[in-house]
Amino acid sequence: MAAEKDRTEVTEAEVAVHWGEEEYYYPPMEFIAQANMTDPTIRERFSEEHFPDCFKEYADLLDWYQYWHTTLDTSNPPFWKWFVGGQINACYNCVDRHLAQHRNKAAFIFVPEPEDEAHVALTYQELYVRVNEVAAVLQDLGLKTGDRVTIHMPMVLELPITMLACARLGIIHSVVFAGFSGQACADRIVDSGSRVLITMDSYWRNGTLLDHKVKADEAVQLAGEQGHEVEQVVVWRRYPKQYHSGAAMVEGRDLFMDELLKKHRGARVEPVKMPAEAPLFLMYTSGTTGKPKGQQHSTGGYMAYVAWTSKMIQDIHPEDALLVHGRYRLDHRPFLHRLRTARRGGHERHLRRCAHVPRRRQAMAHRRTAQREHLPHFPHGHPHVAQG
Amino acid sequence: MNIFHTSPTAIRMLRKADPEGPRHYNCRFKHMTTVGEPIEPEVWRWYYHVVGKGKAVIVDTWWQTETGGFLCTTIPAIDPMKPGSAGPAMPGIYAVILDEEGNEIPPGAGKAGNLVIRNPWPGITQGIWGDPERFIQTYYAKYNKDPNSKDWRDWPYFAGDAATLAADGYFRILGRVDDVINVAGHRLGTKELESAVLTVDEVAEAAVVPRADELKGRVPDVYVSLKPGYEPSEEIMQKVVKAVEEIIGKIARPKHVYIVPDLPKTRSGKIMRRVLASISNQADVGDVTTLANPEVVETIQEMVQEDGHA
Repeated sequence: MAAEKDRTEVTEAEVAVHWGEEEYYYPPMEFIAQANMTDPTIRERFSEEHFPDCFKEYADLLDWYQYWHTTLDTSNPPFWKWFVGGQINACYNCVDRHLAQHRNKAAFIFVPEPEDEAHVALTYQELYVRVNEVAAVLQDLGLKTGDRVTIHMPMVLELPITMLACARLGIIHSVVFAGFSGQACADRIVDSGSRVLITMDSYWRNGTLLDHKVKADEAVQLAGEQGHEVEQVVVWRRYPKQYHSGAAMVEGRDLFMDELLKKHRGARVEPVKMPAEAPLFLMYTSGTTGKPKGQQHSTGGYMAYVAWTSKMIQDIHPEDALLVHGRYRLDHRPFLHRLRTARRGGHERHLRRCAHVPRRRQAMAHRRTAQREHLPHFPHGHPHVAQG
Repeated sequence: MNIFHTSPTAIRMLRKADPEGPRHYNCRFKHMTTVGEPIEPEVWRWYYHVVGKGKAVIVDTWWQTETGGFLCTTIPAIDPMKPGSAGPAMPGIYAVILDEEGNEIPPGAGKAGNLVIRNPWPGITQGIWGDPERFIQTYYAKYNKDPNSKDWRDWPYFAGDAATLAADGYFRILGRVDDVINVAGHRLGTKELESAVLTVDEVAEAAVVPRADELKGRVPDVYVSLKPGYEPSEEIMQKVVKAVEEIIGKIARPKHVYIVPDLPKTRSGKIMRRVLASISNQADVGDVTTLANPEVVETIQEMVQEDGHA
């Protein structure tokens, strides 16, 4: 019997534990009073006897075109399918549904490097307009539901705009961290089978405007050597109309996004009704050895999970402002709750700046007041602050 | 801003750059998240008292790219926080600790094992793009006994993280299963060792890696960087050794303590233990040009080699 074993004896199948117990710290009453989740029976409601239907509570935070008929399909383990039969669009849930009440609330506050560049607050209405226009460009390039697109971009507003435009059309986006090399980008392009690469000419880091397009050229060439052709490279410009890269634009292959957008000003693109189990994005885990693994995340299940956890665990409310210090992953989370998110780069210099949130906070306070009257949101609609 | 979302790495960097500074900032967070890796109790307390001023709740979330969202965390208004512990499993997540043979290690057993989720949940990855077999092998083959079963109960998800489960249902993550150091048949979690090292006042950041040893198989090597205003000294090295011996035990006594100017990090701030392990074992460090601070690798290599000749 396990219980009778000497508790201190550790076999080779186990790992020894030495760290002592730590004391508890209790949440302040002030926090509890405003918290989204205070139901002490929550774990009971999600106990095994209520599985998997308990997760309806998660999915109910989203807007569905059509409800699912099967909560969990286990017919092909371990490839689980959630909310089968349901139809949903991620972009609609992050953007469109907040327009009626929150179109003038800030969705994003971009804190640029260099520091003397003005912050940019993007409202939900503005986000809606820009996402639609980019979606129109993607459509014009011949991209359609189910295609894969690799996005190799820094932490700038154009990144979530591009991601959301893909989601609007059911295009599976694979975001590659800007700090990664052309080789790493090439491996992910090849593995995902992306025919289109979306990149940016340059971006700021530690006081230097880095040449980023050069990595796109490297990536396309290296992908070619692996027998995969990238047909189109779409290049955002950090400063529209100004090109800050030593890498020449390749005729017929490379296109400037700001030029493509000219044709689509004011365009509106209907969100595509996607099956809940359709892939929303790929996120490659690098690991230290072996080929990167393209984790494939679903539209309905993923969105439901992040909607609930960001609301109940991160306790995001529409009037909150979230400072995200680090790199973008697929963050649809704040959008789900109409959150204003502050985005910052992950290196030390920014960290120090982050430490100076006080100065910035005053600006934020003004902006927040402004937002109450005018600004937008994400799935639960809170703003994000971005940096790049 | 009233919600702060960042990684333990960023917190350690902030603490290293200016350990007292945040006390004077005019900021007021209600909620702070840490993601990406476990946070050491010492660093947690600094984050709580200095950055959060004792007024913000912290959620130390455990999740992975694969999981699509948090799997272990406190629910901030319901569960008290415990430094170094992620917290209980999320609602609807049935998490257990299994040993290598698949036996459950009960709560409060004082032993660690593999963190396993018994059920599927909505956020879980649908698979590895284009490679279903690798998906099964990586996450499910270890504990699945019947590949033909259509019952989810037969498909526990192997997360690849080592953890311990306390009697109160709180999970404490010890690091990747691959990072567990086997010293003379005694398996040690790197995060426990690093937590012990970080109790030394002068230490800003720490990484523990295994060094091959003829006698014990593996022994821990410790790499640390110091807070501003401290110079490397024999005394600090001894303090580090003592902290490990006292908190973890003599079995974990480090073979070497290297005080380095900085630890090699990726551009997203993750400490590259793999590079340090290669240096400790005189192996090829591989391509380090993508690191945030590639120059530090050579400096460390020189230090370690000199030490070897001494």
